Amino acid sequence: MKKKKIEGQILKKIKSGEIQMKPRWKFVVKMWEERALWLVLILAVVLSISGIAYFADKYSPRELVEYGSIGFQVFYEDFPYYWLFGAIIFWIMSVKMWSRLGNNYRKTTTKVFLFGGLLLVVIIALILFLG
Amino acid sequence: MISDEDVVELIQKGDREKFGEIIKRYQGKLFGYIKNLINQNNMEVEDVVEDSLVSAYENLNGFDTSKKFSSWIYRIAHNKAVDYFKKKKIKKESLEDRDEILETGKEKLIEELEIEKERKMAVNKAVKNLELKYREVVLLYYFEEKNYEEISDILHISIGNVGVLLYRAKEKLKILLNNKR
Repeated sequence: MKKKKIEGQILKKIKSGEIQMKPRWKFVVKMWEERALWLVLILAVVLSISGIAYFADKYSPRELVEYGSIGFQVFYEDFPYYWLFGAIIFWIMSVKMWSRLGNNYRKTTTKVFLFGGLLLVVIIALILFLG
Repeated sequence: MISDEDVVELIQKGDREKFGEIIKRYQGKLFGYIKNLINQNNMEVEDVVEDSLVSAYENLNGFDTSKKFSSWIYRIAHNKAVDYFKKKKIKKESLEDRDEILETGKEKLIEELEIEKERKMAVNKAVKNLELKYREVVLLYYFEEKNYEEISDILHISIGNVGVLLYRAKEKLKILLNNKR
């Protein structure tokens, strides 16, 4: 291996300013951005799940099933889609963030979305039918 | 000798040329690690090493000098190796056979696998045929002599997981070696 060559090349680039150290404040901002984003995501997911839980508490899907097509119509019309939409958006954001952390190559996008999607469906189903 | 962390602190304070010291200390180590990990020719490996060192310099202000520098720089090198895999679309599970690598650090592994020393070449081949997730822990533990905590820092996995992966890697190596008998 040409040890001198790499060392010389990099030092030359450092001296000429071709490669520069990123300023410290960028790392501080990034750290706080990440913390803030996590906080917002947790709040959003909690709010979304609370919305669905509230709906499930008010209109039990098990009872609606007994009323046949009218029951389902009421269910579809009253379902809090905005809560669900919000949850999905924030879920996608959190999955994207999670995929940026750790060993990315271990979590392929398909695996991440399959796992996350399955988890979301299970949570919603549990809230709707058991809540 | 001045520690890596102290050298980094000097660079962070403005003595940029001290980065040459970091290059001297890590160029060879990173070369060996990346070579064993990606198993490509020297030119390709040198490019990944250079990328890793440049990235380390660019992000040096993000390094916390109260932590271990070697884990941090190995982490960068590891990420660059993974980027290389993605860029070149190399299948991570198995790699082509090159016998010139893995020449150091095998003794402990051979001892733990309880095989004859004459079968060193077989160990080379078996390690290279491990899936990436097992190969990387074997390389870091036996060849780079990192402890569980350092491997945990480098790979961003729990210490318990390091132990599990190492155990499984050894089991897989035993199977691979027994199949070759």
